[in-house]
Amino acid sequence: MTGDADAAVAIALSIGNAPARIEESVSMSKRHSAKYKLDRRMGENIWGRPKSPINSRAYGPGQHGQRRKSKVSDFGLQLRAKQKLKGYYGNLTEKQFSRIYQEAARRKGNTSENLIALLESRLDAVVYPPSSCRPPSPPVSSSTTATCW
Amino acid sequence: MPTPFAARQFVNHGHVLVNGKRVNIPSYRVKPGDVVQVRERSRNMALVLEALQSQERDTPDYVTVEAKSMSATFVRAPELAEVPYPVKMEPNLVVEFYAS
Repeated sequence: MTGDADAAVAIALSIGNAPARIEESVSMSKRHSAKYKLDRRMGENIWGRPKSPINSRAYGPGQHGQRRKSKVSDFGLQLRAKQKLKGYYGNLTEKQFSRIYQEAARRKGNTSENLIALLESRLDAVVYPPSSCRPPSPPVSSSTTATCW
Repeated sequence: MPTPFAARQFVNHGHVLVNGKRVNIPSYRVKPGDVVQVRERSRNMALVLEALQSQERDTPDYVTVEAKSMSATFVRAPELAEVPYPVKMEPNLVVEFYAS
């Protein structure tokens, strides 16, 4: 009997947990997938972080990540380029990103330059140090003191 | 900030002032000429101090920094070549993606 009761409790718990998990996955703007998965998918160290798994597991994520790579189509190249740029900014949704694109296309001038300009105008991008505090860039010997916050 | 994620949290937790007003919206669009500043109360945070003294560094041309008041002026929006991405970005392909 106790076994049954335990099972019932377990079922009740799993039901209780289910909605919470769904809620989490549809949260408005925060990324909920593993961030370094993107590094592995792209095969590049996108933020130049020392922790990137690229160093130890240089293949795609998931069960089929180690399969032979098939030829990437034109669309595939475009999609990767988009995902990479979007992923670089961390928690950017497709909706936000595509709106930024539309604004960039609307504005005068070169759309891709506008796109970068708009992305870098985001407050979080401005706060993220725009410069050599980023690990991969070579150390600069000039002694100009600047904040890096 | 060490990572874009840390930067987002830093903004979201209200440590940043834009033109003297607290802004905790990461997607806030900074206009050319805006002054971005670390809030006074947050200036002694380990993260901030570490970032300040981590090394002497050059900021890109589109931002001018004043270390004393922990503020920076966003002079103008950067171009692709000015943003120090660790990897190669191809916005032209992104444009193609949306144009197709």
